[in-house]
Amino acid sequence: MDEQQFEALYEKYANDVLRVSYFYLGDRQQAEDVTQDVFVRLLQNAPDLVEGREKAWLLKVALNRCRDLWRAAWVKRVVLGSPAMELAPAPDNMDDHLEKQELMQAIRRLPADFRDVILLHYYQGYGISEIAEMLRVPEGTISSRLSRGRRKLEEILKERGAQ
Amino acid sequence: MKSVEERLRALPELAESTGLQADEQLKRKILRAAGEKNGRKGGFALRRLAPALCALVVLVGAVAAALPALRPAGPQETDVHLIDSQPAGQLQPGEKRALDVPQGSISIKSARNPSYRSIWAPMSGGTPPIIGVEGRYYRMLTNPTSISGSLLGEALGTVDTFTSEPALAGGAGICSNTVNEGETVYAVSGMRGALAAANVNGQMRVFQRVSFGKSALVGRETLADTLRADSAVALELSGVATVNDPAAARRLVGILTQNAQFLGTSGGESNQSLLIQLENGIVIQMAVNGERLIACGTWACPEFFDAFQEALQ
Repeated sequence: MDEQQFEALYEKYANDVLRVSYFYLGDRQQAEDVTQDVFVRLLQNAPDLVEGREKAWLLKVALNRCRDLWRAAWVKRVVLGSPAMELAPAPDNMDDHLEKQELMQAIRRLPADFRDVILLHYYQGYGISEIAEMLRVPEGTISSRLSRGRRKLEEILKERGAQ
Repeated sequence: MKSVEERLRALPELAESTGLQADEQLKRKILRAAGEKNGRKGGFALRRLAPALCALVVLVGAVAAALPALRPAGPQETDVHLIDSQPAGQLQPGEKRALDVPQGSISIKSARNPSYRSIWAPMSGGTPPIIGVEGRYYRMLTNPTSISGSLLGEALGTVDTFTSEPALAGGAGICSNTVNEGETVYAVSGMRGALAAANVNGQMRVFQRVSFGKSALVGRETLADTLRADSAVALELSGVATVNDPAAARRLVGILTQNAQFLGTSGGESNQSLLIQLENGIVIQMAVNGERLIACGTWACPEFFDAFQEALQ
């Protein structure tokens, strides 16, 4: 892959890769590291990317990398024990800010399989069949993970609300 | 109460509000990392070429030594006049600053080319050492490493949040990734809104107002409010010249603050700087890119550069 192709893909998709990784890991530095790994791999291995499927490839590699990091014991220790991810609120929308923050934390508490599917569907806008193809999992499994993921999120959010 | 489905549908908006951006710096890091890995892969070929490369280096060196006329005739390093460093705060007996010298006894230096140097403390993990005070952000300066108590103004409050992600900590209260929780943040005397000071590892460090995240000016603030450089005694524009006549420095700062047009909060690339030495001994900086100047926001001011050039003639 030449530098021009890389630049075009970076401009188009790097923010998505960075933000998905951030949602997944809750740590800006690690999200940048994952983004770096993904694009270095793109540059070095020059995969045979089908036009129009580049983003799917980048996100899949990013999610795999996030999972690897998440599994590592030290990430669990550091990230789970770290303060909540925070957003910058305008003074008049503090409630909205807290609600969003709560949702981000809840997503991070989902099992990895559910988290992948929730992020790809609700954040990246992929349909069930597209996610199934990307993750090489049957469509029925994706549907089931989506609905179970939503239920689990609801439970986590209720639990937090009750605290 | 929104349903989970509704809340999830707002994820793209939520992602936007994190302010996370894959920027040029990350892109360069990626290209460098990819280049290094490729370099390691190509190690064997390089080892085979090493003797030939060494011979080439020796040959080029010999030719350069034999032809002194080929060397550039630019100014010697020792000729370059820079803004001198001096302790900030009260003067010791016998010490003088530029303003103490009779007007006109120091003139504008012409055609000197001070090299680029940034006085903002370097980034760490993509974030500079910073304090956020009620939506105003201040970046640590490398110099002075400590200021005297005489320069401290009113207390702005104490750091209530120590976080590695100050951009996400919200505008309320005082946050920092450098100053510990509970430490008091002060304005620098006469510089409220432009400079702050706080204890970092036992030293009272100075922080300059900058834009950070998507924040720059607050309320009706102007460039002058965020610089407070009307007490400038010297200016250094890297690659161009140093102006160390206080009257000229103040006139140029006046042109800058009256004419600069606010372009936005984002910083962008820069390899040139405008250093402004203040009467109190502290030097502040604006990064320069073409006719844009960047500190608390990005500003366009061709009038300033024209005036700077004229002042040198």
